[in-house]
Amino acid sequence: METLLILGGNPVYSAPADLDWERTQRHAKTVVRLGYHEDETFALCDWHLPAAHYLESWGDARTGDGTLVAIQPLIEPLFGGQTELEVLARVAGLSPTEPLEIVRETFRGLGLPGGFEANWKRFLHDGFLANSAARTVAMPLDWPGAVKGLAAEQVPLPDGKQLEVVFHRDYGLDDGRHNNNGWLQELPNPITALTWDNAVLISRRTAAELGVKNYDLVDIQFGNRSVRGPVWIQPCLADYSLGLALGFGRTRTGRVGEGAGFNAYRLRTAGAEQFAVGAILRATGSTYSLSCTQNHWSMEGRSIVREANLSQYRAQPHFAKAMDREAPPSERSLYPNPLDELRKRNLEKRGITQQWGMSIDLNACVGCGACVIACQSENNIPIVGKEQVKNNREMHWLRVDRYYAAGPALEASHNDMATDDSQALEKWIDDPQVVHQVMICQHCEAAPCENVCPVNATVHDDEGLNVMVYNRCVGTRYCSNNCPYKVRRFNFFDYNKRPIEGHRLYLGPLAKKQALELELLKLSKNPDVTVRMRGVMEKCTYCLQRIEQAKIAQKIKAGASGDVAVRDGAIQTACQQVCPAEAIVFGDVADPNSRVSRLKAMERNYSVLEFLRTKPRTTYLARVRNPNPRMPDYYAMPFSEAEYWRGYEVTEGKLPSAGGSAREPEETGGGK
Amino acid sequence: MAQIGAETQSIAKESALSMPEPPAELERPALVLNARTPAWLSDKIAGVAEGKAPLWWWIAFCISFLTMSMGFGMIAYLISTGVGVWGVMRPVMWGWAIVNFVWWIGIGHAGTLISAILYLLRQRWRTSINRAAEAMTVFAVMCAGTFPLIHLGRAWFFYWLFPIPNANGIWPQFRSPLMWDVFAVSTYFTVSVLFWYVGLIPDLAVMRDRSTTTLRKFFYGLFALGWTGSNRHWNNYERAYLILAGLSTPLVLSVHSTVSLDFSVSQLPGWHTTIFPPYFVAGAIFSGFGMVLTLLIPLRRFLHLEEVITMRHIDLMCKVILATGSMVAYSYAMEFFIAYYSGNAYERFAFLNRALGPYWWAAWTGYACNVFVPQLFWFKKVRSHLTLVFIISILVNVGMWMERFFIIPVSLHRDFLPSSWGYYIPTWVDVLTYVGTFGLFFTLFLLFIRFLPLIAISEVKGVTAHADPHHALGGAGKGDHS
Repeated sequence: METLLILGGNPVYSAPADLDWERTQRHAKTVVRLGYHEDETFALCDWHLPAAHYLESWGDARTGDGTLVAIQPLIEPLFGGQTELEVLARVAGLSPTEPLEIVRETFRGLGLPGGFEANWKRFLHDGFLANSAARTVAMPLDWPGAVKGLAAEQVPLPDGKQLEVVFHRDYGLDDGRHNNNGWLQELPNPITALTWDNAVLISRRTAAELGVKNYDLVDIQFGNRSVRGPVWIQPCLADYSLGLALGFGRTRTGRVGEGAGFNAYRLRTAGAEQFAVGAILRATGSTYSLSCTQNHWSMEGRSIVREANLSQYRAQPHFAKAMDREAPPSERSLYPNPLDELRKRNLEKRGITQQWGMSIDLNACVGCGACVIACQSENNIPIVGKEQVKNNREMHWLRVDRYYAAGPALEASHNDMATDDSQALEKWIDDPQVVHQVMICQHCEAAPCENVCPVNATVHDDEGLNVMVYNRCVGTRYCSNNCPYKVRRFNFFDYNKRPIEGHRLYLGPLAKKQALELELLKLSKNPDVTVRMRGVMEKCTYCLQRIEQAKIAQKIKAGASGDVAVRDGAIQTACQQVCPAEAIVFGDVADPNSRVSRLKAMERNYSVLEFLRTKPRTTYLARVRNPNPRMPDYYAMPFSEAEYWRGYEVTEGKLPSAGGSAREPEETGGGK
Repeated sequence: MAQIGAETQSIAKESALSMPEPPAELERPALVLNARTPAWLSDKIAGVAEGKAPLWWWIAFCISFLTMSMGFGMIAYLISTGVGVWGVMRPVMWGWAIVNFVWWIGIGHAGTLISAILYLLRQRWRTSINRAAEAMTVFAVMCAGTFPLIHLGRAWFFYWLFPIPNANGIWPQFRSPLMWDVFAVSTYFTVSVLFWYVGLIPDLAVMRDRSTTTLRKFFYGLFALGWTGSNRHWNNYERAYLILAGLSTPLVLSVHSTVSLDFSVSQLPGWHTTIFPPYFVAGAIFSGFGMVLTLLIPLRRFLHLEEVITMRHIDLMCKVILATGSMVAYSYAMEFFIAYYSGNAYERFAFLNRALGPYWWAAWTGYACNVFVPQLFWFKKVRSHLTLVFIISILVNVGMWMERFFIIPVSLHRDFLPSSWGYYIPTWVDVLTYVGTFGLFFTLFLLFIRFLPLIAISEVKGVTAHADPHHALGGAGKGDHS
């Protein structure tokens, strides 16, 4: 072989271990590689071409159903990188070599009726070509043949002496391509909530049998290959099965990804890319620290995430309200609500009074965490590094809480007084249910954070937002202590200015700054949002800058007409915009016809910790499960709901409608 | 009622005819032993602050000074680098700094209580201990005041907490208990210093008159404000002292009440309780007397003041500790009862978690030291055993520190949403900053005993037999004053 051309990818790192890619690729005389980073493959190539990022590139692609879509650049290439199309065109000696021209040529080749330019413009405008999906054809399925074929497949059963290893691409880092991306390194895994590392995921029983516990560093030997990683006991995992995330343990990556996790590719051979049986686990005797964003797993029977089965929902649509705790008896305050005054004044002054609120549908939320990253990118939220995450100091304004709920059979094994480390040894984690909840500033109307700040740094605005005045904050942190939702984030260090890796945050002004990179990093900041300094509290603003932009745009549009009310749907918060399930809806709660108001009027609507009378503007729609009664894991009510009703008289699947802490929904009726 | 009144009157009439001598066991022991004369007292007490400093003083001073310097180093590191050098995190945003603040403020309660409340209540035994206790108060409040200042994320803007008129027209937020704290602590500090200083004036004049060098004469003279001991001076002095005592009395109760509102005004289970103000005040007096004993037991030995700070003084202080310790015990019990009785699951959990959760050791150390140990003072044998009293006085303050610890971080670490629960661990910077404040405290205290009379000379003279006109040794000679 003369020349090997590698387009993207990082085979030296990610190729099956038995291929020994490092040596294999040397069979070619010249190795040319197009890639984003100076990575493992870069080091072993003769020529490296800088690749253009896909957001800098022209291209086209087909979706799963065959629809043609356009790839359009968002930015002029920052570093003059080349796209794959361009490189291939040059190698093949084609003309033209301009990627845009290539894409246009391809489009021209489709021979669509009508004028080319008009079609092309329409294609770019729509982003896809209508009616270009592939034809579906009916295929007969040979059921008996399939069953026979599956039965013939001989898979050895794993046990303590030959464990199964399951390789999965990491949730954030994918196959390792995003290894040097701090946002994704610090994004908590939706289930394990681990950051900055992968771990050897193992079930409680298997860990007990093998005599290992959380944070133990173990060797996993598979044939003559072995890797070393820390143990993480994962609820709900199958016995004798180890979960190993790929994408970590890169040897040549940037300063962000350096030292994060271990490389599970080293166990992965051709033909066994997904899983393999026959691994041995051996404890090394040493331990390794892991940074997890959620230390406590159980919801402790509190009505934080509320859920019911479909049959319960049908019988009692107000099931979420029935889980309200008894609130203090007083309905009226001694003093007039200053917000009402503000509203009145605003109404007089401007003729409108828009009040912002949010609804989060727990039925739709899958806990993916896209909102976490969207929020981080929109609001200039810094990453803080593994050590700080371990210390519960991550800065995410929006977090996705994940709770495990214990089944009725194993509930007794839970000790709510024990330390968080001993949870992993309790029986109930073998078979829990999992629930997710997006938790952000609730923008309480009676915000507990506001009246405790001695310097007026967190106040209410006349549109109902709980706003944070960064340059007034002196950092007493009292607001965070008094926030029942613990959604406030504190800048313990100058996370934006000082290097976070190693122990260097603790060097303070003595730590050397990475001046060059910081110049480039400025591009990642949103110019509409303040970058906060150390010693200052921060939290979700409901994307205040987007609200203001929408208001300004509406004012310009309104002109002399005075119609300055922002249209419903004109403001999308960053988290709402990316939510693939459209679980988050933001809008004007003063307008009964807005989408958010209609969602809040649904019977599933509830506030978290409503009994504190904080009157949150962010409310949740309770979750409804629809389990199949014929399945072995069917229960009359979801585990978390059963945990809550423990101690109350509850007949199969039917909730008490009054008495105890449960009350008629008419009585509660939300905040006043 | 009337009948009983008449009876009493008749008894009084009878006894007026023949007054029997009280039996010996009812005779109050003297507050200054061995019928020491006023001159002896002046020599003894002023002598401590005169002449060459003893070796033990130099050793103690060097250690304290170095510790204090280290503490300032820690503060410099904290402010240059960020509050992150401490162990505070979410959800425990207040850690050792606030624990230490409340602890030191508590210690600073005994001084003013002894000098003001006991003065108004005519407790004459206070005279031997009030000066040192007041000094302790002033220094403890200084140590306490350091913490809220340095725990700020941006400590350089601390003055924003004061209502200073400014061009922005922004005022502090008067609804915040932290704001009330600023006023309560600064008022308490100012009044304590004033009270202490006014009480010092006659003694400063004594020091001035005894001075042998011009420098000492100048400075003592400057601060003695031209005291001559004339009748008019004494008259004005006594009135000023009484007024200040009256002003200080409500402050003794208000400061720690206000500090406790930092917690009870919040929503947090474990903080949100109405019992806090009296509970905190009782605890503060309890810990303050603990610290007075810790300081005075070694001092009276080193300075040979056993005749002035007598076993009776120690016995009485032990009784105050027993009384306030029992109040604290009652508060603990009531907290648990109310948590149960409220029926609020969050409240119940907070208290169960305090006693049985991951920080059980803090709670039980606190309960052991504050509830069980002081009960030993029911026994006279314990109260008169100096080593035991000394150990218990230290345990009282260990217990009170633990109490603040289990109230502040332990309530925070498991609050409403289990998703944000965490386990707070202090760092070495937390520990050394706390140790540093001991350096500050002892440096100031050692300087105090070197330069100022550590017992109120003029006042203690007033409780001797020589000042009692009814006594054989009294000024009127025969005790014939009828």
